[in-house]
Amino acid sequence: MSFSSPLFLFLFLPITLALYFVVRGRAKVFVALAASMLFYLWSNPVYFIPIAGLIVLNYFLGKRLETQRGKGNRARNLLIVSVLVNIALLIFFKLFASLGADLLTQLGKPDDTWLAAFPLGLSYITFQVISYLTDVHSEKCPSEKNFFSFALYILIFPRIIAGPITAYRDIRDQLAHPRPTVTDAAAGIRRFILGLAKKILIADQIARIVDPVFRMTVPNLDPASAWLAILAFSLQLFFDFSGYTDMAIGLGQAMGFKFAENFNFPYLAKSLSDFWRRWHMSLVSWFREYVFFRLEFTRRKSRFLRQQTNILIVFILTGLWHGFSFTFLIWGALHGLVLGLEMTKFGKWMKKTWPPLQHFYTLFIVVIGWVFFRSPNVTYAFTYLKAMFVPSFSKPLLADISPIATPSWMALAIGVVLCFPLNSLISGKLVVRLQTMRPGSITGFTVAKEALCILIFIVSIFFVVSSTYQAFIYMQF
Amino acid sequence: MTTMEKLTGIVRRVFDDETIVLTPLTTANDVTGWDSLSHINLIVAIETELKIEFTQKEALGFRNVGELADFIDKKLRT
Repeated sequence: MSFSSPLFLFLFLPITLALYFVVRGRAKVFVALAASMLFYLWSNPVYFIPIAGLIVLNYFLGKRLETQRGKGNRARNLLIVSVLVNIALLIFFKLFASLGADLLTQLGKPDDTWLAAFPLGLSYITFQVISYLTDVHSEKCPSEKNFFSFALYILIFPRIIAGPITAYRDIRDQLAHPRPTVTDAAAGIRRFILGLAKKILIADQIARIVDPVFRMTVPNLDPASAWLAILAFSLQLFFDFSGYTDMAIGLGQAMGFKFAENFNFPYLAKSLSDFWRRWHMSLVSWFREYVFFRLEFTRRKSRFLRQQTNILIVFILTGLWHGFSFTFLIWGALHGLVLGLEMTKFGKWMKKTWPPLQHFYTLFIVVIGWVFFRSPNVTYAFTYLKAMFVPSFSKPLLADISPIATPSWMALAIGVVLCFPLNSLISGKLVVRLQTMRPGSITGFTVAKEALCILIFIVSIFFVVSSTYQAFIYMQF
Repeated sequence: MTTMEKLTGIVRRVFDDETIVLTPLTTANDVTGWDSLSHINLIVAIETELKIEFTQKEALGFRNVGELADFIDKKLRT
């Protein structure tokens, strides 16, 4: 069940929210948990059992880690074992999802290949569990004593598909007693609608340009087509994932939970390190806290390119987190190497250079990275890069791309515009000007904004009902 | 030389600024360039200079220079 499916929008969500707001106090936890279990069972019935096992296991591990505090090596070893068990499970399911189908066929069970799927949200769940166990061990938070609150932390449906990865210590109080206010609910639903529009009206429309290109067996493209398709994918990925994130955070807010933010206008970054402070922030800060600084500390005595090596390790892991393939490995390594380069004199020089050049350089690296990220395999990616940079004079411009429908062109144009912080610009400067010019007009402005939001919702719904379903890109990771 | 004076010397060298003056209430925010990345370099410098060892929890747990100095004093005494 996706957030943009009619079933979710017209049945699951309204009933869940209505029940959630009717009941009081701790009962909200149970409604949210029951809805989340239903959501999981609906999306991924087979894998609910291993996920339930994982919740029980980590609930007890958390409590155990708390009692072992201060016992030196024993506590440390327990933490290491717990983290390794969770990572092993994640690796097992990632491998099983990619190789399981072949394996089952070879074992003479071709009817069972549907089993080789990936448990919904497991990559995100594993990282949250690791942060929880580590924080309990290092006394940053107590363990969760209430099993239902813990289960809700893992399963809560607004965040199960693809994060944002939110530390237990940050929403601990909310898990014990969710207290959504009417203002929160309104703001949350507004954000959900805008996220839905980002996904349905922009990302899914741009996907119609991108998908046919990446379905080709060999990307024999002219440079203009190749560039257009990968730039379109850059926008699609951003609107798909940030649209999802807005929906997740919005739903969370409506229910009284404050999830971590994930995006801050990433394509306006002036360096690659700046980009990673603006793109998938919840994943990056997880890697920063639980991997990078630990590496930095353990390897602190090594003098040879210590930070560069650590960054490279972290980004190779980030790549592999997306999936065990060479394309993600190269994508991660590319980012790791360039980030390492930015820690040298090159980075200092870049900082002082002409700003448009900084933006151009950053986008260039990011877009080259997306070629690997999107390509089905490495050979494909390199052929694609060749198509981007080796001109073919025999073909007319954009010869290799299928005709683009008007909604897709519009989505591209609106997408580019929305990469800039328009909202803060409008509600900042415009509101101030309106207020000084005509104090009464501000009510009109607010009404207009709400009306626009409703209009956007209606248009999105129209597209939801009339078009085919597109899953969120980050759901597969 | 007191621990605070020694610490001031190390901090000045690591952050390359001879004008830095440390007080017990100084925090990382008060010193330009003292972020979580350069903090590890500072820890390494303190460890080599004063011949003490930090655990990870200790190294990342100080709220201000005073706590760091107290901790170093305690380590040096044992």
